[in-house]
Amino acid sequence: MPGPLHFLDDKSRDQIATWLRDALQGRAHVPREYHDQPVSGAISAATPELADQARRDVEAAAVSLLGELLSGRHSQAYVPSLLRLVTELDLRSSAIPILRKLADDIPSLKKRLGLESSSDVLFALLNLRDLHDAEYWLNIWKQNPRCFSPVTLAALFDLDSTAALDFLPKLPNLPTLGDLAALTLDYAADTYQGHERTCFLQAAATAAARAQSHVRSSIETWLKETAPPSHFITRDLARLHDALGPPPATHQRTPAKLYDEAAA
Amino acid sequence: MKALDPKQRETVSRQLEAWRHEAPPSESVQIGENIAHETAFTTIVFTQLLADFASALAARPDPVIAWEKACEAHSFKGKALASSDRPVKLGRASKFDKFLQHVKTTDTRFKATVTKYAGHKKPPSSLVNILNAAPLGGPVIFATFNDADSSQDPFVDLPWDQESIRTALGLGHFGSNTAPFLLFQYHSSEPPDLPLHRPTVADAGSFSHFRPESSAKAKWGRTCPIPPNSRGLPSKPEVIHKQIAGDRLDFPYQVTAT
Repeated sequence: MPGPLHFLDDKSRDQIATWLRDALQGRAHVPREYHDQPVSGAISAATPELADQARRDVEAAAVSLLGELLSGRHSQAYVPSLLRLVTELDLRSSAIPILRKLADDIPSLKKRLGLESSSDVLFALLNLRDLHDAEYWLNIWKQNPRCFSPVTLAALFDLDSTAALDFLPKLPNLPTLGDLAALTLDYAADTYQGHERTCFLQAAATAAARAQSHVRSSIETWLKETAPPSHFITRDLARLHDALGPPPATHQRTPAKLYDEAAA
Repeated sequence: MKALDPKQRETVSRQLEAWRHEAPPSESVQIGENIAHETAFTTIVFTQLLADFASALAARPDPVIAWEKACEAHSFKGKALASSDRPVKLGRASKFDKFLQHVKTTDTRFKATVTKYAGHKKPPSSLVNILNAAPLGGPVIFATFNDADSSQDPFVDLPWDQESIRTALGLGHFGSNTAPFLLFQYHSSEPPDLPLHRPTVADAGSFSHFRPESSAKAKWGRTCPIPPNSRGLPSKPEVIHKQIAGDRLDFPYQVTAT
């Protein structure tokens, strides 16, 4: 069965480039998997099913559009979708150099794309696993702490959890940042086991105590919800908790096999 | 069609005919079929929709985009559900891509954390807050519910694997190897009540796996399970509502098994 974008298989490179530009702006039709699927998600899901040449042309067209962000010839209407698309297509080798150039000059980036899309550019870099170092991200963060805190937080936890924990007290006092910090800690904690995990949770608690009220509150709530107080009372109890692992899912899925048996 | 002026009628008829004979057939064929079988509109609304389609065709080279543009002004024109018919609990399937536009963390981190807490009645408050703040869908949200008891889990009568959800909910175009579906449940009736409508071709736009309900008197729509439907999965009831934030979510949510 032909894929949903099969009509691109017979098109030239230029036609595909035109189609992509239009599609990202809602001016060309993109078949969706569900009714309100974002256009970037629909294109990235269908691209692997294209013929090799058409797939390469879609990828090249996405990179070419990304390059237009450098020259300022872009339309703001497709920037968020385009950044999602290059991320979802995982166009590392061709997209990262362009994204780096954009991120090299944050004042110009903010002027050209606006704050929100500037943050999206940085998240695209991070999603494509171009991590740099902690200093790089802290320099970006200083240029607008409120806007660039989420991406800096994510980057630091990808690089070095000690630097990331040190960063928590610097986060602006916003509930949303507290929630993102807790979510990020939850993911980071799962990379540790046993005693190392206990140490990490204790370090998180210590960092949270120095953070501003909203951030502190979110992290402390997360610690209470995911780690029992015993973590901080005795090592034996902490070991027991680790041995028990995370709480089991409270809602069982209906296995397809059971469904078939019931139907029979 | 008869109520359209002759020029508009000719424009629309020509386009429907072109779709019908498209070779190779694309999903546009189904858009035309759906228009022909729609029963939910009053004559006045249907005529206006087709007149707008005719105008859009004159202005845009892509007829499917023209149809989408015409539909935008006619969303939520299907009959509103009466209070007595309102399902208590709604369910919808979407994918991570819907959330990754809004959530300010890396894709890997968000997907892993959401997957980790699937099935948990009490995920961490931080995750609940993040999901509560994100939009639950686009400007028109399609939702299903439990036919037998609308206060119960909307998906309980389905196996929760990727292929079964795709088949029963009529989510088309893609094979079963794509990313998992997120299955959310949320309540419709706590104040303020969420207005619910029967879905129409205008709400579906170009989404070609939509099928209009054949009876003009139907209170809601039904999904069309995707062939071959080897398990004989039932069609599911379908309503639509406007975009809402996730603060009506009930936990747990699920992530389909692939």
